[in-house]
Order: sequence, then structure tokens, then C-alpha cells
Amino acid sequence: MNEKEIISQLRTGDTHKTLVKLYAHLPKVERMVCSRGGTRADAKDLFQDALIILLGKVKDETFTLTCSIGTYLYAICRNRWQEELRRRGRFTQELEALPEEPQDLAALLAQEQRFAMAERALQALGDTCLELLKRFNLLNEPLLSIARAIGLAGEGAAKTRKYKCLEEARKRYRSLLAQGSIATIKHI
Amino acid sequence: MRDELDLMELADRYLRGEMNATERAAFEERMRTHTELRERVEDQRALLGGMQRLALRPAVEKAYRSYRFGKWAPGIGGAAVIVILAVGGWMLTRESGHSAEWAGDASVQVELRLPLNDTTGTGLPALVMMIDPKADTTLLTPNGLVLDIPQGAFVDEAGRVIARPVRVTLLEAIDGVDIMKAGLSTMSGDTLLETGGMFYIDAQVDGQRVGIDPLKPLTVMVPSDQADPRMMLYEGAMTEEGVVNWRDPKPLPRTLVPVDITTLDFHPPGFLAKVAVLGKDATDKAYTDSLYAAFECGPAALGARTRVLPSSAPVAMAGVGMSVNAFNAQWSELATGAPTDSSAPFIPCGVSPARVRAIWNERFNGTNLATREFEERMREIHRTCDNAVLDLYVQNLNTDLSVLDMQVARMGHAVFSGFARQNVGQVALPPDAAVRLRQVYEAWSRAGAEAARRTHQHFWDEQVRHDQQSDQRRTRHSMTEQRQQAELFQKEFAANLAEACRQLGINKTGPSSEPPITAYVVRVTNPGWWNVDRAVFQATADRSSMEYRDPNTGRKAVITYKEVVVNVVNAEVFEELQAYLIPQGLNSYQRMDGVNGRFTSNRSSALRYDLFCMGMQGDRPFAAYRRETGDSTHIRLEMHETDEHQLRRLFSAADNALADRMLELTSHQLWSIKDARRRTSNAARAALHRALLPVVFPCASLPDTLRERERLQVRTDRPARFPGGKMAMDKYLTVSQRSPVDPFERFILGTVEVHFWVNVDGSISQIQVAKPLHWSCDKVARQLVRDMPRWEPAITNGRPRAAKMSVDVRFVGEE
Repeated sequence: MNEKEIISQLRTGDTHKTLVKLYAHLPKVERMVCSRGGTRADAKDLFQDALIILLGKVKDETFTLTCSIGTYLYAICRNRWQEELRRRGRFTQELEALPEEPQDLAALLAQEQRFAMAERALQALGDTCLELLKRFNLLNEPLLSIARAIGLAGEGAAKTRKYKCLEEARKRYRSLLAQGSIATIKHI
Repeated sequence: MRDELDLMELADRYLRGEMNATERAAFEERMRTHTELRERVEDQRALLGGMQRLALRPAVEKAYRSYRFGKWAPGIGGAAVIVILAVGGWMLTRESGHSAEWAGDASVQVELRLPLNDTTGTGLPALVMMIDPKADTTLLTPNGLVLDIPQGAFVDEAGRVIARPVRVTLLEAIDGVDIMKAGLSTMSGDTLLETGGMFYIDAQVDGQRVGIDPLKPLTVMVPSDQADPRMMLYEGAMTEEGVVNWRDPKPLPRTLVPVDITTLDFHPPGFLAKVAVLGKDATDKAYTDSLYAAFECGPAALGARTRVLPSSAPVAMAGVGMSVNAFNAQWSELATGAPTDSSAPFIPCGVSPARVRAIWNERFNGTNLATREFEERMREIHRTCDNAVLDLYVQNLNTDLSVLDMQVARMGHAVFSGFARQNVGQVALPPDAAVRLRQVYEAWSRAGAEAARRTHQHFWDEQVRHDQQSDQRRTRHSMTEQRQQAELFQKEFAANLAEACRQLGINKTGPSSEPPITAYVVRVTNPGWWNVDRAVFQATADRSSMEYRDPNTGRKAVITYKEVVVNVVNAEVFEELQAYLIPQGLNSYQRMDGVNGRFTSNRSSALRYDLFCMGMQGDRPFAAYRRETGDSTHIRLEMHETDEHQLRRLFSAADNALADRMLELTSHQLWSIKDARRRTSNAARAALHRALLPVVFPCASLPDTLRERERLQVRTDRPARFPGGKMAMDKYLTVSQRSPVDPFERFILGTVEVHFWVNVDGSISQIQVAKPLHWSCDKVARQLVRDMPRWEPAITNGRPRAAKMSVDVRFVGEE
């Protein structure tokens, strides 16, 4: 399966199967992380994040890879781990450069860093809030049916609730942002 | 709030792409001017991204489980397999005081000490596998347990590595249901444990249980959602009631975190502190490394300290008409030190710096050695003074530190059992890395030691050669100086005598050129000549004024010696400052006495003098020259930088022969300064080495052994010695020589060899002239020896003994 097929699989086909296959690149990341002061758990977190970034990217129809998918994932992990080491103040030396570094990685990772913070902020919300936001934003359900599903009085209540939830998330996100960098993301 | 809500709605629609072109343009325009709105949109965009991530996570996590648990790890090491061994089962547990806590957590257990063919008792499915012990094998079980079997891990009773396929049985209980079904307990005595997983490993060959090489333990990884530091490893024992009792908890291996190895300190304890105390820059790693590298254990390294005797040889004083050459053999031997003693017994001194340097570099980054934990061990390794300990750690990079700690503890270093209790694991390495690094280590330690030894040897051999050459050169120079001064004396004497004769109206221009070889001088009775000679001789020898009246003619001869004082401007910036009076026409020079840039000397009224002064500033020679001092009694000289060319021009104006002589003098001084610097720096180097030696090679036996060697050397090697050494004796002989001497000696050339005994108290007795020259010279030589200060007696076996010595007294006559 070449990179194009993998991407189209991720877009339309059996995402699960494809993801499982992509995990074949995990050991390489584990080696990199373990030899640089991290654990396998750190490696797994990084790798899963990289998969999520990839999944987010492939939604964009214009997304094309400039390198192999393994390199892409590895590069993301490597950069993130470097960042993490810098944060821990441990290793100052640069990790070895990759021959074919994906383009615009820095910008992408900066954006993903913000998204990751937002994710953390959202995780801290209550289940109802999460459900509501998910249905509204991701599933594009109308407010009325959402209200029914989660037991709210009506569209207005759902709207107000949504506002409150979003404001709460935003507040947390802002405070995370103010704290600066973000720790390695813990999986749910 | 209404506004806020509306804004949020707008932002939502904008981000979701629900606006039409007009709305969109208006909104974007509004964003440009409205900071708060722009921020809100950005935040919501991020939250939207976060939401997407959140939504994707479960899929990714699910895929991970499939990947991890869904199948055996494909194709690792050939056979899939399992493992362990003879001790039965293990359980990862954490002690918990409350059963409630335990009940709340999912538990995993594994079985223990089941009769081998009776795994059915637990109802757990047994994984049974044949593995090839000649290759590394990694196994992933359906429940996510990972088992690593290093190549050659299995050994038979005699400890021999097993090569035949091994049958490995593995049972695992990973979730509560399995544990319950298997009827496994989570009790340790009466204490309830919270388990993190149970497993049972057995390995057999032909139905016989096999052992595991303690240096190559199998590694089991039990999956866990979160790491609890209190988890410990329990060994399971089947009780008589058929219940498993978990006992003998051990802490789990601590994870090793590799750091940059060059930031660690592998020096012997206290090395850097000592370097700092000695006034060197301990923060300069390049410097301290090279300092440390200079140490290599072995006779050559230790020999250096006895070989480097800083010599503070003063420039020999000029003598009058006589010089002495004594004890060349003994003295020069002492001055150059004992020869390299390659037959010296090997002294165990400490961990070899070459080995330490072989591991202390980036190549070993990311290994067990590049950890704080190993740094801690390194300090103790130095204290063991045993290279084998270091070797053990380096040669087993793919082994847990705790296993190696235990080995070292068994080698008799108790402190390492403390390390073993820390139960520190290892840094995972790629399969070949350990072997490769081990080869690197062996090659580099050998090469490093050899290079250090060779460099060291080469350096000190070279220095010994320099020392010998410089001793020879000094001796040669002092001989030349003495000859020159004797010559000067003769010429000055002749000049004075001529002047005296002129004043007395006697037509005599100098001493007879025909040597009175008959030597019956005592019978010569012309008092006028005798007296004049005598008086002028005395005056010249002392450089003091004289006045003589001829009893026959009543005429008077006056030779005055007047002091001249020379002050050098800025004298403190020059090294080896020397001033010389140069009597015109005599082709010779007269060294002035003085220190700190102030020189004095007496000038004869019979001669005219030039003045020359030279000194060094760093490597640059400076000189001052004054033609014709006239009658001035105080002269101020300013020094100017000069070179050989200038000097030659300067002196050639007066006399070419003099120029040669003065240039040789200058070049000797230049060399002499450099040589003194070399000796000083060698002495400092040797002192630094000596001071650091006990730190680098901390084993107590070392200083004792060294001291013993030194003592032995003193006991056996020391001959009788003139107090202060050869130079002091030269000085003594030349200075004593200034007292009146029979003037006829000056016509006699040669050597008188005097033998005598130095008694146990240092006194001199039984003086014999072994090789006579002329009776007057023999007498002088005999007197000189008789009047010598007390000697330091020879020492044999720690006790003084009488020794027969020989001195050559050389008489240098007119040439």
C-alpha cells in the first residue's frame, strides 16, 4: 500500500485497519524516545498524537505528503520530543536531523500545540458539555435534537448551555495558554 | 451576555463556513478592527481543533489495542516464545492496606509453581513454545505481556549455555476474571495485595528444568495503564492448602534515564576538587581531561617522580687560574636521576584512566553508562582500584545494573550490594550495540593506555636527555668562564705590572715569557722584581689599590682600583641581568657583582674600560653598552632591545675576537634562561602529578609503596656528597682560590688527583695526592681538600659509612 492509498483509506475506507498498520512505525519512535530519556509510554503518547494530527490533516482534501508516511509520523514525534526535552531542561543537544523533513512542520506543530491545549481544556468539561459540543460541532446535529438527546428543555436552553460550555472551555484554554508550554499529553 | 452570545454564534458560523460571501467579508472586516473578536475566533478555532482531536482519540486508541494485543509480535528473533523459569510464578503487586482499594482496581495475576503438566488446575491456557536459545527472542502474549529472552540466556546446572531448543511455558492472568477463574490468591501472608499482573514461566529441555544466566535475565513487561511506584515483584509459593502465597517482595527495576555522558563526572572522587586546590582551572574540561589522561599506572609513570629533580644550578663563579672538576660520575648521576627502572614490580594503583576515557564519550550516550546512576557507581569503582569492576559494567551493557552490582558485591566490594538493592535496570540498546561498544571499549582502553604510556615515556626521556645535555653545557660553560677569568687575571696583571714598571722607570713590560721551569724560585733573590711582582699580583688578585716604593731608586709605583657603580633603569623587568666591564685591548670581560640592577666592580687605573649590560625580557634580549666609562663612579644605563646582529656590530667595532666571546656569553644566557624555565615547568608538572597521584590512584598501597621505593633509593643510592652538591663545591674551590697563590702556578697546566676518605661524620681524612703535578700545585690542592666543609657521608642500607673519594683539581695556566 503506498502513501496515496493509505491516505485515501484514512479518508474513506477502513480507518481502523489502516491505523493498526500505521502502528508498525511505533517501535522506531519508541527507540528514539527510550534512548533519549523517555519511556515507552511517552513514545506511545507521542505517536498517538502524531496519528491524530495525521487524521486531522487528511480531512483536508488538499493535503499531500512530501515524504513517506513513516517519516512524517517520526518527524512529528521527534520534533515534539525535542520540545519536551527542552522543556525538561535535560538534553540541549539536537536530535539528529532527518534527511527528508516534511515541510511546514514547525507551523503545523505550533498549531497542533494550541489544539492540544484546547483538547485538554475540553477534557476538563463535564460529560454533558462534551456531548453537546461534539454533537453540535462534529456531528452537525440541530440544536433541537441535541436538546432532546441530552435532556434539555428546548433549543434556547441548548443554545445557552452551549454558550456556557464553550465559554468555560475557552476560559480553561486561555489559562493553559497563559501557563505556556504543555506537558506531554496524557491519553484519555 | 447577549452580545457575547451573538458574537459566539457569529464566530461559530464563520468557522463552520456557514456564512455567505457578503457576510463573510463584513465579518472579516470587523475582525480586523476588533481585537476581542479576533481572539474569540482564534480561541474557538482552537477549541474546534481540540474537539476533533478528542473525537479521533478513541479510534487511535482502539487501533493501538489491536496492534498491541491482537497478535504475536511478528518475526522477532525467529521463534516466538516464552519463558522463564525455575522459580515459579511472579506477581506484580502493590501492598494495599484496604481491600476496598484493591476491589476497585482491575487485577492481574499469574500462577506459580504449578506442577508442570498440571496447568489445567488453574484453568489458564498455557502458552507453550520451543525457542532457539541461540538468538534473541521477543514474545508478545495476547494479553499484552512482553517477554524478552536474550540470546544464550538459558544455562544448565553447570552454568553452561544451552544451545538446544528450549521448551518454554508461560501462564498469565491479566484480568480479574482470569484470576478468579484460576483461583489465584492475592495474599501475601495475611496481607491483601493489589496486583498489577501475574505470570508463570517455566523452561525445560528434555523434561529437565533449566536455569537462567544471572547476567542475562529475561525481561518481562507487564502492561499497565499507569505506573504505580509502590509496585513490587513477589515470588509465589504454593502452600500446603494449595493456595499461592506471595512472598519476598523486591522493588521493580528503576528506569534508567540516560543523560548526556559528557555532563557526568567519571573522574576519581576528589580529583576536580584537588585540581582546584592546586590552583588550576578545574572547570576547563579539556584541561582536566588531558591532565587525567596523563596518568597511567605502571612503573614508568611512577618513575617520573624520581627522575625529575629540579636543578637550581647557579652559574659557576669565575675562578682564578684554577678550576676543579670533581665526581663527575657520581654527581652527574644524581643530577639526572635514576634511570628508568623497568624492572620495578607492578604496583596496583587504581582504575586506569585510559579505560575511563574509553567510555567517557558520546559513543556511550544512551547506554547504562550515560546515567546518573552509573556516575554514582563510578565513584565507588574508583575506590575499588580494580579495572575488572569497570570492565564488568562496560562489557555487559545489555544487563541490568543491579545484576552487575550484585556481581561486584560478590567480588568483595560490599558497598555495591547497596547499589544492588536499588534494583536499577538498564537502558535498552539495539541488539548489536552492546557487542560493538564492548569492542570499542577494549580497543580504546588498550590504545589509550599505550598512547599515554608512550607520550609520557617520550616526554620524560626527552627531558632527561635535555637535562644531561644542559648539565654538560653548563659544565662546559663554567670551564670556559673560568679560563676566561684566569686569562683576564693574567692580562690585567700584566697591564698593572707594566704600569708599575713604567712608574718605577724600569724597562720591563711584563712577566718573563720564559717559564722558570727549574722551579727553584725560592732562590731568586732580586727583591725589587720579586716585590713588585708580588705587590702587583696581590693588587690584581684582590682588585685593590697598591702603592710601592722602590727602596733602591726611591721611585713610587701606584696602581689604584676604583669602584664603579652601575644602575640599570627598570631593572625589575629583566631576568638574568648581568653587567660586565670590558677592559679595552684585553679581549676579555670582567663580571660585575650585584643584584637588583645595581652592580659594582673595581677598575684598575692602568686600564680603560667599556661597559656592557644585558638581560632578558621574556624571550627578547635587551642590552646596554657604554663605550669608555672614563672616571665616572656612577653610571646609569638604559636597556634597549637588541639582537645578535646588533651585538656583533657593537663589539666588532672594538675587536672581533671579543665579539665572538660576548656573543657566546649572550647566547649562553639566553639558553640558560630557557633551560631554567624548562626545568621549572618540569618540576611544576612533576609536582602536580605527584599531588594528584593519590587522588587518581587512591589505593592505600600506592603511597606506601612509593615511599618505600624512595626510601630504598635513598638507602642504597646515595654516595658521599659535598654539602650543596657539585656546584657548591666548584664555588668553594674557586672562591678559596683567591687567597694568595704562588705566582708560578700560573705557568703550570694540569690536574692533581686527590684521594681522601669521607668519614661517617662527614669529616675528611687520609688525604693523598694520587696524581701529583707540581709540588706547589699539589700543596694547594691538598690544602683545598683539607679545608673543605664537612661532607654529607655516604649512606648504605640506611646507615652512614666511610667512603673513599677522589677529586680532580685542575690548574689552568696561561694558554
